[in-house]
Amino acid sequence: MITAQSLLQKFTNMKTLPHLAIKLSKMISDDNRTIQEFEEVIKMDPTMVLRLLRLVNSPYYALRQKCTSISDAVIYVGMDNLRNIVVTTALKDIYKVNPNESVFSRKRLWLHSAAVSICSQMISERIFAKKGENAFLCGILHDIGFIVEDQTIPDLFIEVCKTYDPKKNSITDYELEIIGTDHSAIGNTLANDWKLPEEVRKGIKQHHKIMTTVEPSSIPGIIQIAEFMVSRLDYTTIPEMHPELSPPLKQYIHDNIKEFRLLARELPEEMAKARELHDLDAE
Amino acid sequence: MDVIDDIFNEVDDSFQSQKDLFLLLEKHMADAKFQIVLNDRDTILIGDTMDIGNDLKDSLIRKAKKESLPVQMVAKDGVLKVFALSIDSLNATLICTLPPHVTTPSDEKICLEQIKLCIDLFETRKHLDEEKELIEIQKIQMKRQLKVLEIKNQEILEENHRNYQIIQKQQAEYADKLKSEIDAQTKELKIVNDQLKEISRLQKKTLDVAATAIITLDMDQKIVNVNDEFCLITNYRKKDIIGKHYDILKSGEDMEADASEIEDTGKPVYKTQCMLYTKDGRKLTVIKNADTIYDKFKKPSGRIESFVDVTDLIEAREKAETANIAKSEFLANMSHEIRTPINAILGMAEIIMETRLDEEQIDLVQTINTESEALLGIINDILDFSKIEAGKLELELISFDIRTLMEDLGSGIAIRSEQKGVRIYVYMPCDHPSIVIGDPGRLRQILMNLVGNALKFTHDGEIFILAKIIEKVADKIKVYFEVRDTGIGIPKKQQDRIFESFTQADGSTTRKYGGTGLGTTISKQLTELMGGEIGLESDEGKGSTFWFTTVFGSVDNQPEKEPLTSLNLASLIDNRKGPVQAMIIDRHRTGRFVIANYLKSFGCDVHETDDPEPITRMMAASGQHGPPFHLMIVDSGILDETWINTLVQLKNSETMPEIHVIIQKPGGPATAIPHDLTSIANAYITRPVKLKNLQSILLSVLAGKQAKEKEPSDELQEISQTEQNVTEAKGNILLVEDYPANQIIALTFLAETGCLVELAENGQQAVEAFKNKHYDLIFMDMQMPVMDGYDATKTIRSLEREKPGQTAEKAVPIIAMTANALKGDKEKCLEAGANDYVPKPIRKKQIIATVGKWLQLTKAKRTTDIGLQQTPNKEKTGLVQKPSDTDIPEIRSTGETSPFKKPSAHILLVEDNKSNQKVALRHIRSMGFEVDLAENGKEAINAYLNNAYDLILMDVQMPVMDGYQATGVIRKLELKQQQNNYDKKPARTPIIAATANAIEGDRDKCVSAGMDDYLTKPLKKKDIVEMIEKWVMLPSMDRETGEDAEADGPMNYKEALLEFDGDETILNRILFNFVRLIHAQLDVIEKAIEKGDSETVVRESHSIKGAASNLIADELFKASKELEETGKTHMLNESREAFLKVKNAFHRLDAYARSLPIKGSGEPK
Repeated sequence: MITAQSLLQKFTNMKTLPHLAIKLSKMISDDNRTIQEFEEVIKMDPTMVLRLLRLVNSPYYALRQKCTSISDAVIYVGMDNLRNIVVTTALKDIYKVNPNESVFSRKRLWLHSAAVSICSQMISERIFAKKGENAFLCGILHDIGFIVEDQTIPDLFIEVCKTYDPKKNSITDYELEIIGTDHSAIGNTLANDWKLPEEVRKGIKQHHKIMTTVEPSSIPGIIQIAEFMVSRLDYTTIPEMHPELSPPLKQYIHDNIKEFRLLARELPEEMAKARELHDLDAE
Repeated sequence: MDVIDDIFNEVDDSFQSQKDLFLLLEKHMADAKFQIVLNDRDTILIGDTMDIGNDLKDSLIRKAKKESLPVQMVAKDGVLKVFALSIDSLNATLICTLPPHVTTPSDEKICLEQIKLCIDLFETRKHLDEEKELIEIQKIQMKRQLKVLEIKNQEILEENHRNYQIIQKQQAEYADKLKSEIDAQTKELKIVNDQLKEISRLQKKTLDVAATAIITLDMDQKIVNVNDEFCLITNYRKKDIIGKHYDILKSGEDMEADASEIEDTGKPVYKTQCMLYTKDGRKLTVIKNADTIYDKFKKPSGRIESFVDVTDLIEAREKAETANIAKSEFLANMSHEIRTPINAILGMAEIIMETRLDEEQIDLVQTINTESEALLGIINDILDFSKIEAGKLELELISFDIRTLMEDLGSGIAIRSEQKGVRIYVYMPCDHPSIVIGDPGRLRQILMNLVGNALKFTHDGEIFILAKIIEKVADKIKVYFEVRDTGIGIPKKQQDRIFESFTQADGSTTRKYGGTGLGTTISKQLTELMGGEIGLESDEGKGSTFWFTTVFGSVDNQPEKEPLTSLNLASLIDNRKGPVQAMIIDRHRTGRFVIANYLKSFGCDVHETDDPEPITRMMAASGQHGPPFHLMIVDSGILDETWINTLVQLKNSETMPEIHVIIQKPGGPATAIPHDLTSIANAYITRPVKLKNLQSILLSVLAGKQAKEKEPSDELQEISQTEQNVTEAKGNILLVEDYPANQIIALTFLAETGCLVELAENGQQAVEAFKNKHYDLIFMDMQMPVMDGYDATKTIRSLEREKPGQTAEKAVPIIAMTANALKGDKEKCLEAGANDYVPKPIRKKQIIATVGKWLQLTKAKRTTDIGLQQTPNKEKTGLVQKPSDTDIPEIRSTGETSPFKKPSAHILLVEDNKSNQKVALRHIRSMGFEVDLAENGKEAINAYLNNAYDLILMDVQMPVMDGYQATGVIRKLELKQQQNNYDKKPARTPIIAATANAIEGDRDKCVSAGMDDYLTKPLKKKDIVEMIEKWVMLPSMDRETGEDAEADGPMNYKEALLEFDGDETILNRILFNFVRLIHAQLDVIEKAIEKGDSETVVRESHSIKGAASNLIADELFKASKELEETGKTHMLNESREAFLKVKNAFHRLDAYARSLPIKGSGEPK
C-alpha cells in the first residue's frame, strides 16, 4: 500500500536531499537558534555560503559595503530568506537529475516551480502587502511530490504522466487512481516533516483543490493565483496542464484585474531578477 | 491589447471601452448610427438599430478586418450606404450609417474622417487613461512592497535584537563560568604556590644541610647561588661570592687543573676529580658532579655543580696505600724470614731421622717435624689469606678430573682418619662428567680445608665428600661439593661467623683444636673467586655439612659415562641373563650409599644391610637353590669371627661356588686383615672406594672364572685380575736391563704392579743381586754388555741348584726380554732357564700380566715369607716402593752400598741460608751427585761461567742478587755461548727455583725469569730427588707447547701415550731421558763407525731401535734398524749413510721433544 508517508520515507532513505539542508531547515523552525549556530552549519557547505553572499551583495539589498561574513549575511537576508536559499539550494540538484526526460521533465518542473515561487512572492508583496518568503517557499515546494514519485516509484509515475489527459481530469485524479496518493499529499507530508510553517504546508496541500472559500491573500490562494498566471504564460509542468482557479480567487482577480495585469506585465522582469538572485536557472 | 492582457479575458467582461467609444461617436455625430461588434463574438455589443441584414453585416466585418480604411457597402434597398471600420485596440468592428444629410461623396468622406478622428481621439484618450491607471496601481503596489520591506526590516531588527539578547545572555553565562573557573584556578594556584614555597624552603634547607657543596651558575659563569656547605669548605660568605665569576674558584696560575666545564656540550659531569681554591688560597681536591640547567624553552640557562671535598680522603687513601704496600712487603719478608728457619728445621729433622736414633729420639724429632709443619701450615694460611685479600691470587686454567682429585684427597686423608676411627667416603655420580677446566690446586685447597676441619672436629663416624654437577650452561659447569661430617657441630649463632676471618666456632675451640680459623675464610674467598658460593648447615652435636659451588670450564668430547657403566656385568657370569644381584654389607649408611649407587649405575640389582646376621641365615637357607647373590661387598669393619666363619663356610660349600666376595679394607700400612679372609675374599678394595678401582675389581672378580678358560691373549681380563692380585701379593722383582731408557720404561710399568723393583744393569750385577737377596721374579734383558741375559740366567739356575732344600717350585721365575722376535729366540731363552718370555718393545699390559701370572703362581706358597721380608728390605736396599696410587717410579740408591750405576750429574745449589744449604747439600750428596754451592746470584753466575752444570737449584730470595736476576743473566749467557761453543755446555741448563709459597705470583715470576721448574720449600729429600731425576737426565726444555703430534711426525705421541696409560708425565720423562741418552749414543756410534767397530754399532743402534719403537717414533725406528742391519753385515760405508738418517731422525725427535710443554711443574709436589 503506497502512501505519501511511505514514499517519503523511501525518498528520505535514498538520501536524495542533502543532510545539511534538512538540518538547517529544522534549525530555522527552532526559535532559540542563534546566528552563530547558523554560521557554524552554513559554512560547512561552500555552495550555500556562495549563494548566501551573492544574495546579500545583490543590488536588491543595496548594501554600502560588501558583506563577507556569514553571520552578517544571515542577518541581512533574514531567517526566512535564509531558509529559502537553503531549500532552493538543496532541491536544485535533484531537479537536475532527469531519468525520464521524454515523459516527465524535471527541468521543466523546476522552471515551473521557480516561476510559481517568484510570482507568489510578487502577489503576496505587491497585492497584499505581505512578506512573500513563505509564498516563495511554497511555490518552490508545491510540486515536490512529483520528484518524490519520480524518484521512488518511477514506473507508476511514468504511467501517470502517459495516461494524463489535461482536458479530462486533474492530474491528482490520475495519481490517486494509479499510485494511491498524489503529489500534493506527498508535499504536505514533507512540509510536515520539515516543520515548515503551517500556511506553507497548506499551500502545498491545497494547490490543486477547487475551494469554495479561500482567502486570496492566504498562501493557498496566492499559490493558486500564481499557478494560474504562470501556466497561462506556458510555464507548465506538463504541457497543456492548466489548473483551475477556485471561484473566490477568480472573483478577486476579476475585481482587481488591473493590478494583476500590471503584475503579469512585470513578472518576466522579476523572474529574470530572481533567477539571478536565487540561481534559479535550470542549468 | 497585448498577450499579457489577454490572460485575463476569461475573467474580464466589462466592455467599458467599447461603450465609451459609442458614447463619444454619438456625441459628435448625433445623426449617424453606430454599432460596435466584438470581433471574436460576432455580436453587437452596443449600438443603434440598423436595418441591415446579418449577411451584409458579416461581409462588412470580414472586409473591414482586411482593410485599414473604412469599407462601404450598399444595403439591399440600394439607398442605404453602410460603412465598417476595424478598431484593433478594442478587438471590435465599428459599423455605421452616415447622417441622412450626407449625400455627396465629399461629405461622405469628411464624415468618415470625422468618425476616424473620433476613434483616434478615443484611443488616445483611452491609452492615456490606462497608463495613468497603471501608474496609479504601480504606485499602490510599490507602496505595498515598501510596507513589506519595512516589515522585513522590522523583523530583521527584531531578529537582531533577539540575537543580541541571546548573545548577551550567553556572554553573561560565559563570563560567570569564566569567573568561577578563574576563582577555582586561583585557589588551586594558591595551593600549588604554597606547596612550591614549601618545597622551595625544603630545597633551600636541603641545600644548606647537604654535606655536599652546591653551586649554581648562569650562562655567563656568574655564581647565582651557593649552599652552606660550599661556604664552609671554601670559607667564602654567601654575599661575598654570589654574583662573582666562577673563575674566582680557580687560582690565577693553575687554570687548567680546574673544572671549567660550564660551557661544555651540556653533557653531565659525574664524579670527576678536580681542584678548587678557597678564599684563603687553599687548594682542595673535590669530586664534582655537574649538569646543565635548562629553561622552559629547553635552552641552557646555567649550570649546577656539586662538590665533595675529598682532600682529606685522598690523603688518607694515599697513606693507606702506602701502608698496604708496606704490609705486603712485610708479609713477603715475613714469609721469607719465618720460612727460612722453619725450612731449615724441617730439613734438619729429616736428616736426623736418617741417623741412628733411639725410640725416644725418634719421637722427639717427629714432634719437631710435626710442630714445624703445623707452623708452616699456619704461615701459609695467613699468606694465602693475604694474597687473596690483596687480590693477587690468580686461578689456573687446566683440565683435571674432579673425581680423581677427590678420591686422591680422600685416600690421602683416610690413613689419618681411619686411625682416628673416622671413615672417609667420596662420591660423585658415575654419569657426571668429571673432567673440567679450572684450578685443581685451589679446589684441593678448599676441600682440604673443609675435610681437614671436619676431621679435626669429628671423633667418630664419618666424613662424606660429595660432588655433583648441578648446572651446565654453554661451556660452563657448575659443580656442587659437600663435606658432611658427624662431628661436634656448630652452634646456630656462630654459623654465620664461621666464614669470617680468624673465627672458629668460639675462642675456646681455637685453643682446644688449634688452627688459625683461616681455613674456612680462605675457602670462602676461593669459592667466590671460582664463581661459587659457600655455606654450611649444622646441627650441634650431630655434625656439620659444609657445601660450596664452583664454576669450571667444561671439556668437550668428554665421555658422558664411565666406560664400565655401560658394560654388562651380568654377561661375565655363567649363563646369567638377568642383572647381577649384589649385596652390600656395611654398618655405615654412607658407605652403602656410595657403593650401591656405583653398582646400580653398572646395572646391578643392589641389596644392602647393616646387619650381617640375617644374611648369614639367608645364605645358609638358600642351600642348593644357588646363592641369592652373585656379589657381596663386605666392609671389613663388620667382620667378626662368627661372620668370617660363616663366610668361609659358604665359600667352601660345594653348592655355592658362585658368590664373589669383595672386602672393603682401610688403606695404609697399619692394616691387619685377618688371615682367614684370604680364603674367602676374591678381592680387596681400599676405602674410600674409588670408582676406577671398583670397576676393575668387579670386572676381574666377576670375569675371574672365565678368564682362566680363555686365551691368555685376552689381555684386559688378565690384567684386571692380576692387578687385583698384586695389590695383595706384592713381591720383589729384579729388573735386569742395560739401556737407561728401557730401564725407566720397565721400572715405570713394574711400579704399577705395586711390587718392589730393583735394578741391575747387566748379567753380572744380576747374579750378584740374586746371591744377596730373594726375588720373586726376575725380568732379564737378553742382550747386555759384560754378561748377557742367557749367561746370567744359566748362572742363576746353577746357583739355585746348589742351594740346600731348593725345589723346582721354589726357583725364581725368570722372564726373558728380547727384541729378537724370531721363533728360535723363545726356545733359546727357555733353554737357558727362563720361565717365560716377553718380546721387546715391552708393553705395559704384557708386563703387568706377566707379573700377575707368575706372582700368583708362587703366591700361595710364599705369602708370609714375602710379607716378612718386605719391610726390612725396604730400608736396607733403599729401593723405595711407592704407594700404588702415585704413578711415579723411583730409582734411588743410598750411594756406596748400591751395586747399581748412578746417574752422574753436576749440580749447582744457590742458597743463602746456611741451614738450608746444609739440608740441600746433604740430600743431593746422598744421592751421589756432585754439588757446588753458591750463596747468592752473583756467585751462581760465576760458578756457572766456570763449570758446566746439569742442574741449578736456585733460591729465589737472596741478598746481593736474587734468583730471578741470576737466572736472567744465565739465560743471556747461554744465548751467547750457544752461538760460539755449542758442544761444551748444554744449550740450556735447567734452573729449578726453590721458593716458598709466597705472596706474589711466584710461578709466573719464575717462568718469566727463565726458570724451568720450581720446588716448594721446605725442601724435602723426596722432592729434590724427583726434580733431579726429572731434569738431570733430560736436556733442557724451554719450548712452548706443540701438543698436536701428527702420526707422520717424528713420533706418534698419541699412540705412545696410550702405551703409557695416558700418563704424560711418565711418557715425557722417558722421552726426555731417551733423547738425552741417544745424544750420547750417537757419538759412540760415530766413533765406532770410524774405528770399524761394527759390534758397537749393532749394539747401540739396536738399543736405539728398541726405545724408538717404545715411543712410536717410526722414523728413528726404521733408521736405527737399517743401521743395525748394516752393522751386522759389516758394511761400514752403508753404516755411514744409515747413521746420517738416524742422526736426522734423532734431531727431529729432539726438536719435537723440546717443543712439548713442561708437564707437571705447575703443582708443587
